[in-house]
Amino acid sequence: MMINILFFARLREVVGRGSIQYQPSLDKLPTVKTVLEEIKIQFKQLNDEKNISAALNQELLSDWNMPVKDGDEIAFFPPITGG
Amino acid sequence: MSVIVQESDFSLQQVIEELRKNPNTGAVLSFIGYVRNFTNITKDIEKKNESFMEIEHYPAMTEKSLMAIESKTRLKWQVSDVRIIHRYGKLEINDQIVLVAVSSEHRKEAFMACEYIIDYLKTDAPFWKKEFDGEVSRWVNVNIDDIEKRNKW
Repeated sequence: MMINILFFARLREVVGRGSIQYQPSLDKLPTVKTVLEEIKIQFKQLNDEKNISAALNQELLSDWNMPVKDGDEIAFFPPITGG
Repeated sequence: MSVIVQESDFSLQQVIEELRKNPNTGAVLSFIGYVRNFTNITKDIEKKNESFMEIEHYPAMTEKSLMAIESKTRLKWQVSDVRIIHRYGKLEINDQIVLVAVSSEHRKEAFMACEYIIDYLKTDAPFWKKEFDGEVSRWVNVNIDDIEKRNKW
């Protein structure tokens, strides 16, 4: 199972890249929340970020427990400042 | 296209001309957001170019989210036409960032819809602003008032 993870704005700078391909660990059903917890191990600097928002397949996330499927795209970013 | 994401500038007059072509149009309401001066001191003309804003967005999601905002608006109010233009890239102080224009048969619907759209754009359209002032740069923080305004709808 492979998912595409994108980082925007401050999080892109903190991580040092705009996207990664990621294989969630298979011992539990992955959700957006567990994926973020796992990539925080790889990118420890994300632990300092207080406000992380997310989108799953280009839809703003309302529930961090949304399950993640093969080929999904998750984006992590700081709170939006549009308009 | 009712929703446009572009790097280049836009013309309010042109959008209004498009909306008034619809014979049902009785009112057009528009909102334009500009880059306001975020520097601490008044810049002299030669230094003006050192201050600018960069707007980043999530290309695969941006149009989709703007269209979703338009759909939600149409469910709430009887509007004839909606135009949303949002810019990205490098912008200078006083530049236009965003245009929302709404037409309707009667003014009340257009007033409400226009405010609704801009309130949702602030929190739901995936744009992020970074201000550059000489050597210093900073990401614009989310404004709690904006979240409250959106939540009141």
